[in-house]
Amino acid sequence: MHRLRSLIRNFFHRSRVERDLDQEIRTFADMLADEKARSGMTRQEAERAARIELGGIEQVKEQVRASHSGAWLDQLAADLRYALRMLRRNPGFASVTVITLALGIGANTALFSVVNALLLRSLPYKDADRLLYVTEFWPHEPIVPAPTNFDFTNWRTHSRLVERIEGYGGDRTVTLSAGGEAERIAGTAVTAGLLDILGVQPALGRNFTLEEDRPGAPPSVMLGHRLWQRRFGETPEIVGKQIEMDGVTRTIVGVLPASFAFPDNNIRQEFLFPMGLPLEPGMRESDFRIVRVLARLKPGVTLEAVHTEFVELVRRTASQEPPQLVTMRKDMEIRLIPLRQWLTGGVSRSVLVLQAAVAMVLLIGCLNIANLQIARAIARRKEMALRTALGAGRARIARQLLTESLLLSMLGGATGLALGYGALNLIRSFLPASLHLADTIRIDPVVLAFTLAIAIISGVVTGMAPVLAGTRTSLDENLKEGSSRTTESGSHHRLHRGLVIAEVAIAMVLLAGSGLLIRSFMRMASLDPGFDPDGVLTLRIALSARKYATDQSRTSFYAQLLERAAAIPGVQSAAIGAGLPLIGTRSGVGTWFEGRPAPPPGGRPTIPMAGVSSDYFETLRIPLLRGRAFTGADRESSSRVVVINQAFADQFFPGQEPVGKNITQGVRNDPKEIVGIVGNVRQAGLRLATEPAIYAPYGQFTEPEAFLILRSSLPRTALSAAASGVIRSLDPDLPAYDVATMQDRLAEALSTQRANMALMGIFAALALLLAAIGIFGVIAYMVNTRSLEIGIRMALGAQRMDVLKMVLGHGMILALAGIAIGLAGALAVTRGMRTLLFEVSPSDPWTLAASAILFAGVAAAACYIPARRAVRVDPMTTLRHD
Amino acid sequence: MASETTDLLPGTLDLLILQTLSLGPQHGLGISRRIEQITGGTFRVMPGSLFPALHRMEEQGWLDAEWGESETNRKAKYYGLTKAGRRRLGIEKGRWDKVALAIRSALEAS
Repeated sequence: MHRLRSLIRNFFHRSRVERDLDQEIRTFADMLADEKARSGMTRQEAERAARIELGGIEQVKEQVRASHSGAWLDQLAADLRYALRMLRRNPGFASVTVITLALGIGANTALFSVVNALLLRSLPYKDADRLLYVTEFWPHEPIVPAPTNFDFTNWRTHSRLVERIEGYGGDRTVTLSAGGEAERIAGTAVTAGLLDILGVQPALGRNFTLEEDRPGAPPSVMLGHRLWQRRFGETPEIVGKQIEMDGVTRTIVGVLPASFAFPDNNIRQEFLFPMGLPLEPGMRESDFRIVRVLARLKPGVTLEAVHTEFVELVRRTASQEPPQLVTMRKDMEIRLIPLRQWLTGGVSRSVLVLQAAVAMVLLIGCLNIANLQIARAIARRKEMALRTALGAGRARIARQLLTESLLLSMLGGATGLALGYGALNLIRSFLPASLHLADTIRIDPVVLAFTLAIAIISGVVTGMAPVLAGTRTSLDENLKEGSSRTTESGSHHRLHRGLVIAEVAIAMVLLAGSGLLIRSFMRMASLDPGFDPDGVLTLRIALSARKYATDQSRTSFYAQLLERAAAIPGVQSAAIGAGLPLIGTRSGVGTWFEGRPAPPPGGRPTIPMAGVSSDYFETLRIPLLRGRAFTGADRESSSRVVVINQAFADQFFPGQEPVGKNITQGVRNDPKEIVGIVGNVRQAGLRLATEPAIYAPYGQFTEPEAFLILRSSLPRTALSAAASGVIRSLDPDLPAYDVATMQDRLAEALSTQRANMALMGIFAALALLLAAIGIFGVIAYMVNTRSLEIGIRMALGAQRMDVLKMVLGHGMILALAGIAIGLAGALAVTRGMRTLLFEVSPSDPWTLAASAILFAGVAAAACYIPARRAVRVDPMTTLRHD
Repeated sequence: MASETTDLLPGTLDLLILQTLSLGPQHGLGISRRIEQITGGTFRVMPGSLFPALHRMEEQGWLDAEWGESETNRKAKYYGLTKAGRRRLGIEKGRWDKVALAIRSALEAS
């Protein structure tokens, strides 16, 4: 009660409180003097002695004020008012500081919101930390890993350590005619419990039942939210109705919620259908499907324990395994990966490297500001001395300085938050499209707290710099000192120089890192993809299994399509291929060689193989190295022929002539003659080394899915409209999808590398700029404080060249020391970037040397400007100044 | 400052002020001199500690203050104990006795 009343009184009747206080202390001083006068001093002596004993009326008043309720509020208000006044008087310093901090804090905020969404925040699934991704793979075969259905059902039936284990995958694209024009839509097979393990409820209708997920059960389907909106007008009555997909009639059991996404976005979810695995382990050939498997651990169970159990379960059922599996089992390994690690493993490294980079940018910015603050503190020594004389304690002055720098850092933080928010979309666009967690990147309370924290830390660190630098305010010395340009004592200078060396070193690390990424990108972009991407448009088609049941019907469709596509005016050449460079090939075939000893069971290497038309190589301009390409005469009925790539020849026929040799494939080991060798193309993306590949005439190796490849100088839209028209004219129910030029596909393959390079390049440029400003600032400050000395030197006969050399030398010593330390640091830390690089060593000497030279050049430029000002010094003016 | 004067132990300033004022209202210099007197010159309270303490204790409601004439005809602020101040004095005394007893027995034990 008392306190509240005092607070109100102190706040609203400030002038009366102040008057009373002044009166009280003055009376005290007078009474003290009275006392002394009574003991025999003259009045004058008594008053002087009283003053000394009191220790200064203003100081005592200030101490009393500090004990009043709400004093901190008062002081804060006063500090803020004063800080604002200081900043208004010094707009250059204020805006440089706020902009520097805004850039640093903005970049950190944006990156941290990515780190938060991908690596910190819990995944949008129930108990996601207990979810595992389960896979089986062969270490020597980089084919998409997946467990066999046999093992999956085995674990599902017998595991005691996982609560449940569910699967999805086996994408299927079907043609849907109901509710509009025929369209190719992609769906996914799931086990009945998949939605449960993810904690997802259907938006409408119900989940699949276990009965619907058995082999031979009546077909059912769950619609994706988008499909339901787009084609069925969001009518709830759709549940229970039947639709036809690729000739199969399915009952609609429910609709997925709009937010639903599989953990990995590669799987699109226009619709789901039950996988229909047998409940007991057993295997027929048709059951061998690729599935992604998720398991939920029982609470308290470790990943290692489950791994041991799964291995043991596989070992126990080895005797019941079907023969196909026995041959595959060799070298097969089981791997369990925590869900988050599986989802973000591909980008977590780049995100962390970039986060480290922006942290360094902010650090450099703070070092710069700290340097400015120290310079200002030295310039403000007189002011501080005056404030001390007027009763401000050391702590009070420190708080004033801190209020100033916190005000700046808060302004910087707020601006940075806005910048970071604006940069979110940019950053999101740099992440791979398959990473659907990227959609959850946003500024949430955690990010806000982070931004606030780094703003406060930046403010405290930069604000405390002058205090830590030991710019003590010794009263009389500073009040007496007339000139601010005397030759300064060494300690601030040492600190200035140390800070600049530190920031140059950090910026050097960033520059080296971005140099490595730029070089990686250049390496990758200058790779010869093995084909000519200019002027090539590709469209994907998939023939329905019902309408095109036989190889013959497919072959004749392709032949007609080719004929009509080649006839489009402006098309130079047209081709069909089941595979495409950068996209890869769907099929891999176990292959051996006529006349060589038979390999052990399961020992035949699986080679990617694609059926292509005779103009495939010419259309993509893949060079024919030896022998011949296919001709129209290589038909279904003619003798079997294949074309191999150079990598195949190098690996299996080293030092021999492959053309004319036979390979054998399939269960009957039909011989196929190698008639030609073509150049290697980058088959599955740019990063992977070229692997052996086989091409066959599409009439002899006919697949239901193919690319139509057109080389033409027609504009893209016109060409794609004409091609779609041709396809529709042959089969109105057959849509063309995945339409893209080969240039698009090449850009897509480069996108991750480009993104890493671009972001790192931006941050390194920022760091370089800040470091240059830092060097400039320190040299300019040096020239300023030493103008007297320079003036004397010039008066004594020093030439302009000498002064220029001296100033440049000072700056370059700092820069070179920083660069040397930075290079050593770069060697130590760029190893962490190894996985982000492409055919460049983390310690690539050319890159490091180029970055160092660039930096030295920028540093020289930053020194030159103040150095030029130094030589313009007129000795007479300088010497007369004081 | 005389060499035999001692810095106040933390927390004892409040006790000494309250004890001094229990004899009747007094102004700042009076309180200062009274403390010097009753401690035999051992403690000397500097104005930089005294006034902040007085104002703090007034805000806490232990003291009240009014302006009055001093013996030398100067307008001075007189502080007096409130009811809460008397209660406080009791508490502070009890606490001090406890501390003093504890320290004494600690010294005698060794």
